[in-house]
Amino acid sequence: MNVLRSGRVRRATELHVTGLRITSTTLNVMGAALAAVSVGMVVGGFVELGSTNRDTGALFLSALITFVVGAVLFGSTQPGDARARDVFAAVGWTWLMVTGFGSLPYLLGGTFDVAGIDTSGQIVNAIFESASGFSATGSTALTDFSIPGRGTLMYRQITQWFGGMGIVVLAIAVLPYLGVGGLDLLTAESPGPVSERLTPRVKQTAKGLWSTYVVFTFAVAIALIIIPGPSVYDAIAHGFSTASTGGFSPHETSIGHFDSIAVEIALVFAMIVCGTNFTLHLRAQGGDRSAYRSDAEFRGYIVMLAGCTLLVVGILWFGGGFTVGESLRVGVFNVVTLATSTGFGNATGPGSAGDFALWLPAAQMILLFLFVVGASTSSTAGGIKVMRVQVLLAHSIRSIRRSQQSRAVIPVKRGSVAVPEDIISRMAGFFVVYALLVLSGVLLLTSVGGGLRESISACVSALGNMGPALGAAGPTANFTEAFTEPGRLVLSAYMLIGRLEFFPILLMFAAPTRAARARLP
Amino acid sequence: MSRVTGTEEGPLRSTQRDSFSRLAISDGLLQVGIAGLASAAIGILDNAVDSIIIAVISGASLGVGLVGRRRLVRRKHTATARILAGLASTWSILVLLGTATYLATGAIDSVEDALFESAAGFSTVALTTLDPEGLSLPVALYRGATQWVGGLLGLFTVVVALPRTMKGRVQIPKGIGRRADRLVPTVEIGRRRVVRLYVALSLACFAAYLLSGMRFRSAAIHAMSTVSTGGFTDTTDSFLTMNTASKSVATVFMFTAGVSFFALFWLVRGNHRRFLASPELRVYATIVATITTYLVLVVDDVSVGDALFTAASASSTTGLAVVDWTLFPPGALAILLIAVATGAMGASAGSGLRVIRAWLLVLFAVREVRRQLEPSAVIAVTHGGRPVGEDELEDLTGYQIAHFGLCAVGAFLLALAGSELVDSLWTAISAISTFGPSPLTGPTGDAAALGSWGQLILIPGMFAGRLTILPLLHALASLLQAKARFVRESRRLLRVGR
Repeated sequence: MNVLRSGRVRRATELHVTGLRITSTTLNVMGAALAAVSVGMVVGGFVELGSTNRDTGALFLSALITFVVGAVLFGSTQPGDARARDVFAAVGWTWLMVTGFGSLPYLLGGTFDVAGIDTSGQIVNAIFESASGFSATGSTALTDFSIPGRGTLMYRQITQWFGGMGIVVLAIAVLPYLGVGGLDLLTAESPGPVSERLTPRVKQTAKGLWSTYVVFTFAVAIALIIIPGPSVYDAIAHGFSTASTGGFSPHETSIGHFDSIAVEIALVFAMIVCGTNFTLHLRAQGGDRSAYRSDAEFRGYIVMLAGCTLLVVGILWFGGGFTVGESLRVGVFNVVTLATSTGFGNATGPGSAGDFALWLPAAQMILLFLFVVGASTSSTAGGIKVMRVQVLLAHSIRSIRRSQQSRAVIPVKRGSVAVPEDIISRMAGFFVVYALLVLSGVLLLTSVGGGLRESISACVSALGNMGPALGAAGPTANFTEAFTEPGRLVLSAYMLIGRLEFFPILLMFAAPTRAARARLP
Repeated sequence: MSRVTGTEEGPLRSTQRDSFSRLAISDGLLQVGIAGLASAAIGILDNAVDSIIIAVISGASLGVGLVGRRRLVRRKHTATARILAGLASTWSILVLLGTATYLATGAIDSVEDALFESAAGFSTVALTTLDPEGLSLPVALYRGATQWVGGLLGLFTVVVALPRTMKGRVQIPKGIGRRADRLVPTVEIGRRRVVRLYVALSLACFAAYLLSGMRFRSAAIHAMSTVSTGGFTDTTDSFLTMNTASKSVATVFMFTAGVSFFALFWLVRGNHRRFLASPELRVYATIVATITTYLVLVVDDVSVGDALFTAASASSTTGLAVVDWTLFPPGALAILLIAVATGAMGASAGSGLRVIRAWLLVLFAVREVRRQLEPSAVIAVTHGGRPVGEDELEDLTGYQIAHFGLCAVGAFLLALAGSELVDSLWTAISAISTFGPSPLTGPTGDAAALGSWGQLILIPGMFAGRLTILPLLHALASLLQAKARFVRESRRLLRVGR
């Protein structure tokens, strides 16, 4: 690998003192995020106070610790330059620290204090649950839902909502600006004023996006309140995890707990909306009637959902021994929940129709495909994203055609516009990094005791922030039984890596390393 | 077919025609004819009837091949599409010929099984529908010969045909160097050199097997299937009960068969330094060493020799087995699957994604990660001191996506045919990499476990694995174009009729 750098100016250090405040983007963002997370703990504490009152102390104590640390960091620092390595470091370290502090309520409240799990196991499970929450994944290590109080369970839902809140800004304003995985293709389509500098752009974009996000959350909650079945608590809890496409539920059997077609239909609609590019929603709000229709990714997303649903329903109906009604119900719900990376389950228990770990292998193969692809860019969903898959497929076909006509100039088009070669290269790079991460993840997980089916599906599921996997890590099982402690730690890391589109976590050491090098004589 | 005055062999005579496809088919028929006649001659005392049948079919094949070679010449500049079509037609005709031979000798009764056995043979995949111990000598030798010819066809594809015509765009090294040091200065010289090197390797392997104590029949069959990275054997338990010397011979020759013929050519020419300095060879050796170490550490009761054998078999995509590796723990199965998917070196008899492509992909990924930090920096990917062009990298990633896509489609179809999820994935990747065995078929590659549908599904995958994905896609594209033409013409005729 040969690096040719021209005219590169080396900055003294990323971390330096100006007056009484340290200039560090990473510490500043981290402080603000921790302070915000403490609010979620306080909300959980008040819910707990008004209900089971078991974990109240744990939640308020966690909130206090987190807030103090956050406030100290935020108060003693000021943001510096927002260059690529600083942003990657800020995003990566913030998510990591938030995950760490976010596990406090589980640890202090003894959420995982069950027979057979020692202290190290409890710590690993708490980190896993927290990572799953803030990455809006939805995988769980919780074996007994009766142990945590309603407040802790609500806090668990809020972690996903906070995760989604961060993601929605990250996915629309930050990552495209940095060109992560070719997302700079979206910059021209981003809502709000386009600024040359990242900070004002994020601030202005965030306002519009967060208001849309909050509206969606309320809409889902109100819909679930109206529909018979879920309580107000359930409705709000599922509103949080639907808008963020997280997939946590305060019930062991997830949406299967309600056993209600109406609830499932409402959530299917909500999940499709939340898996759609948020910029399209903003454009539609702004009066652009053709926003959805004219978008190639949205059309691809809908075609993918429809095609996979048809295939799954067909396979279940013809070969799975299900009735048409059962096939439709479980097929539509599970395809949508997995394509949007939400990860709710509508199985009413082990062995029920919605338990897709027991479906025919061909149907599971389609679900695995959805684990990989995910939903739209600039949404709260995970996976490679439909737009990248469209461009990469066109790129692959172009390569095959070019192998026959080596001199032909064949552009890769998205809609009617040619995609720049640099962006195709970035997307291809993103895909190769993804493939290498999957391979290394499977190797790591199988090496520490995971089964091959569980490891492949859980690795892809974690990177795509889906939630459930296949086999012993299926929708009615949990990850404690399927994976050992090191395995769960690997998956926790993969959830964060996948959530942040790989590069922030892979490069989070770049800025600190550079700063340390700069300080060396 | 238009006449041209310029060909690689000089001006055309009045009786000659130029056609890459027909010439490629003639070459294939010639090779199968010679190999089949040799099998019949050697096996005449063991089973005269089978020998005569094989001799008749192979004689006819040889005759057609010879006529073709006399009447056809190679164009100086052949379009890539014609080359791909030629490769696809050659493989298809050889498979049909093999099917006819199995059916005519009565070795296999069912057409599907015969077709699969023949396709597995010419694709050098170690999957079989037969009980190898129940075969007569001429049929057993013929079966081994199908893999030997398949290996040669694969070598022609990746060493001679594609790199010259596609400007190395599928990342197969073109053998850059002095003229005397190049394997393929012209198509004809390249062809001859590849055949000589391949025959020499096969004879060396045969002699080594004989010296290790193997019987003549076994030595001949195993030599053909080892050097071609095919994996057919004449026992039901592959190498499980063989002596240590035979296992060692197999390990050495499997590894060698997975080495690039460009590198082997440098070695034969005495250019040891260049051979040892080959970055791809180093990566390939590192992969085999890593897998061996991993297996020794993770699997209970596996010796270093057996681990090395299994690693060499997987990396070279041969498919011979010395232990029942399907019972290995999941970690070992995962690393073997990665090795099978990666495959052997480019321009070797082995298959898979190829080490050079996999290595370039890793370098490309590292470059992309670094580029995130320095978006304006120009970071080149270099391999062996040579910067790899952006065009090549683009085509590499495009090809890789198509390769993954093919594996995914194969796995889905197998799952649709009833195989379990992991078994489907393993089997599809294994067949497309021309390895063969999987946890579903067992270490000896029992194709009965796939069922008829499973076997039919794997045939195009094996074809794509052996000849690269391009001829398969070209064949598909041609079919689609022909269908579109047919529909267009039918509509035109209907309009005229009205």
